[in-house]
Amino acid sequence: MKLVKNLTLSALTIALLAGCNTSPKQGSTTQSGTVSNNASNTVIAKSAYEFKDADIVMPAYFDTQGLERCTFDINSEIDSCPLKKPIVRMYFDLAGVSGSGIGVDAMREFDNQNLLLMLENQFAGINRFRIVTRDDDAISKEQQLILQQQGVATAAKRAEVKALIPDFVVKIDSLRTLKTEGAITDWADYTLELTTGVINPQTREKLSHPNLGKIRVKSEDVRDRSELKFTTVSGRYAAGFHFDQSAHVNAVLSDMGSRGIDILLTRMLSEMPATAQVLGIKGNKISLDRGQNAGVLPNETMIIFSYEAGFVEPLGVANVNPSRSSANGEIIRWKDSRAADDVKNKAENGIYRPSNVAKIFAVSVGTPADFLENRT
Amino acid sequence: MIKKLGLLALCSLSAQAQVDVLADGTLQTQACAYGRGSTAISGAKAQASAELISFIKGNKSLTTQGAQQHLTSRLDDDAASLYEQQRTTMMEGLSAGAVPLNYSTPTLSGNDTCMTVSLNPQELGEPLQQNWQQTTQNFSVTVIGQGWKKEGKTALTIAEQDALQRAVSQVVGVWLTQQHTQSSSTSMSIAEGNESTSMQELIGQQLSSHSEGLVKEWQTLQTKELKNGGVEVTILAVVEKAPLIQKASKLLSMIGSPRVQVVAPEPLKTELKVWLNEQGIEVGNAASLAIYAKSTVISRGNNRQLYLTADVRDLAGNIYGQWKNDPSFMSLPKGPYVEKDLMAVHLASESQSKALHSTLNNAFTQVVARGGLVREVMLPSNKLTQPEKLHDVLSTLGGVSDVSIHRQQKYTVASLRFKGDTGELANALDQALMTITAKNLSKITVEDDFTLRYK
Repeated sequence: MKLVKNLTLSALTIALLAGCNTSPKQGSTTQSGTVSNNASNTVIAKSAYEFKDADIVMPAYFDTQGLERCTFDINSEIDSCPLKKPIVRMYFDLAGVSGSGIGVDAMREFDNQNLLLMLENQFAGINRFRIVTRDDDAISKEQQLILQQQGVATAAKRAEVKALIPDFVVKIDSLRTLKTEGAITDWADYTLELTTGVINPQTREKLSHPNLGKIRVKSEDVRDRSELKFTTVSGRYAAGFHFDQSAHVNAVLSDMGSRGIDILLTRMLSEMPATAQVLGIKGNKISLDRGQNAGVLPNETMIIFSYEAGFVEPLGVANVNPSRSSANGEIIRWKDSRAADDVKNKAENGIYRPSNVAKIFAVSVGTPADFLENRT
Repeated sequence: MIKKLGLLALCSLSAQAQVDVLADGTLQTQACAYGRGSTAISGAKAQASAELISFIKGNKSLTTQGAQQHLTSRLDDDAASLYEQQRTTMMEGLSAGAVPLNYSTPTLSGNDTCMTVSLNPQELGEPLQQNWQQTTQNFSVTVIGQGWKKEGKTALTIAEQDALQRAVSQVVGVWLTQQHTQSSSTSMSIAEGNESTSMQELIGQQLSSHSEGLVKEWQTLQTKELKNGGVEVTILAVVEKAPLIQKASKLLSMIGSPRVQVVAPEPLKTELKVWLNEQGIEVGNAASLAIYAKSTVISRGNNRQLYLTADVRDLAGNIYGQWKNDPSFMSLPKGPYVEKDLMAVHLASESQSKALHSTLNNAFTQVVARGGLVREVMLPSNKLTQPEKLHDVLSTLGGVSDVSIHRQQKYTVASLRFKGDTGELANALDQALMTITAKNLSKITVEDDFTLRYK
């Protein structure tokens, strides 16, 4: 009996010891996520007036390059001048729709030329690129008119100026899909997916920046589902949404394309924020060295930060309005920090001009709050 | 006391000018101009200079002393006297833009670009005298020539001739370079780089065969024996400028404006003829050079572009140069007159017409460089007494090169290049062929610029 007890104790001890020997739990740096199939939405900047202290942080992609190397001649800026903008030509590519099925034929006949021109217009407006238009018809009509109205000599002289040579090609690739249930009373569910590639046409390299991701627009984003309801009788259209007529389908697809472009714009503005150097601070007023020429938009929300020895220190948030080559703004909220207080004190009684060692910059935080309302 | 007053006046600052006078007498002011970049910078500079001028001028009157004046700093006596001495020079110089001003690096201020401009009277020197170099009538050059005994001439004679030709060629080179730098509107544009070098070689080559008339005097400096009985001479030659320039210009204008005929479909033919006439190139049917031109309208979407080509050929079919237009120059919407419109614009364009002009000039130069135009001499074979000598006889004629002979039915046809005009060639042929042809050979007839025929 005693032996049995001893044996049991030993077994227990061994078991305990074995238990102690198990390796410690491994840490983990990843977790599983779900791939969303939801429609994309816009992300825009908060108005400077709504910022709280904790919101005053640095956005990504800020830049601290000054204008020292700029010539201010748009055609001769060197790469190290932040006002130099890449010259791009834009393409809007719709993947062909093949196969057959309810409403597929009507989707096929889609003219993307006008969507392309819309894209060019909207992108030109944000002044991140210089765009070479592909609107050949308008250009040649204009040349014809100059020839008629001003004569050969003037037309020839004007034609000496060549079109810009694009540095890059911006290509929007898109996919269109249509989903129906196959029931007698059904609704069309179109999806448009857009991705943007920036291509160096010489080397064929697709650039990593700006990375605009994938944009998904669903027909329910632009039309109420009830508007896309239809009824079929033995597979043919009977009533409701004209899924079989390209004009009706294109109206929906165009709206979706247009919405996609809007989302694209807002992403572009976050990916390529406007940066400017602060020339002076007077009280809460700031004067910036760049304006429209660097793509600063009206009512831009900008984070003001100091830059010294590679460290950035957010100082406050400002509401900025541009003029052609400079901008003026007002710091709406100063950051609650020693660095911000220091600058604030210096600027209280007169104009504070930052030194060359501790420069002050302003960087936009994304699409201005009222941009979608006014510009899309 | 007067000096002190003068100083006061000198240092007075008007409200607008804001010119500071530093301790060493340097005048300094800041000005801003709207905008960015070079225009704004030069605007700011000009404004600052103007302020400096008005400041210096303003000091003429010692009596206008308002309440605003004050001394920014005390001038020492030297600086003050220097200022007084240099004042007139500064005033004259500033308005002429000849006084060295010191400019700071531009700074940005809101929408403006600002510059600080200063003027230090100590830096003003005496105005530089312009040195005019006397133009010389003659060029002296030292050249080396080599020669070997050939065709009854001594090695020394050939070496001397070689040296003289080199001397002429060198002077032509100098003249052409001068022409190039002095004016760009010579009868023919001696354009950049390669073209100018080839032109120099070409003209040197052509002129040096007449070196006698161009070299005024020369003397042998050194003679050296070479292998195989050759001689090397170093000579000092004096080349006269005037006759050289005359001959070279004549040659240039000859290259620049030969007569051409135009072979092209209408409306291109008329358009080209008009254009050629405008360019001073004579057009005629009996020309020894022809411009073959073609035009094609190609469609680009809804629009049309024009392809134009023109090449210069001689009557033997040699192509001396080709021009293609730049179709991207203009595209127009499709329509009934699109070809004519595009043609007119292309030919009216400066860059296109310059390219065409330069192609034509190159082609004409090519003709001269290759030894002149190709001609065909037709001789009845049965009247040639010594047909085997025909080639040699023609080759030794002055100005003739590239002789080739073939039979064509009853005729022996000699095709050759000749530097001069057709009449000159006909005369030379009449003399030379006498020895190797039958007595009853007819007189030579010039059928056109290409064909010369005996019967």
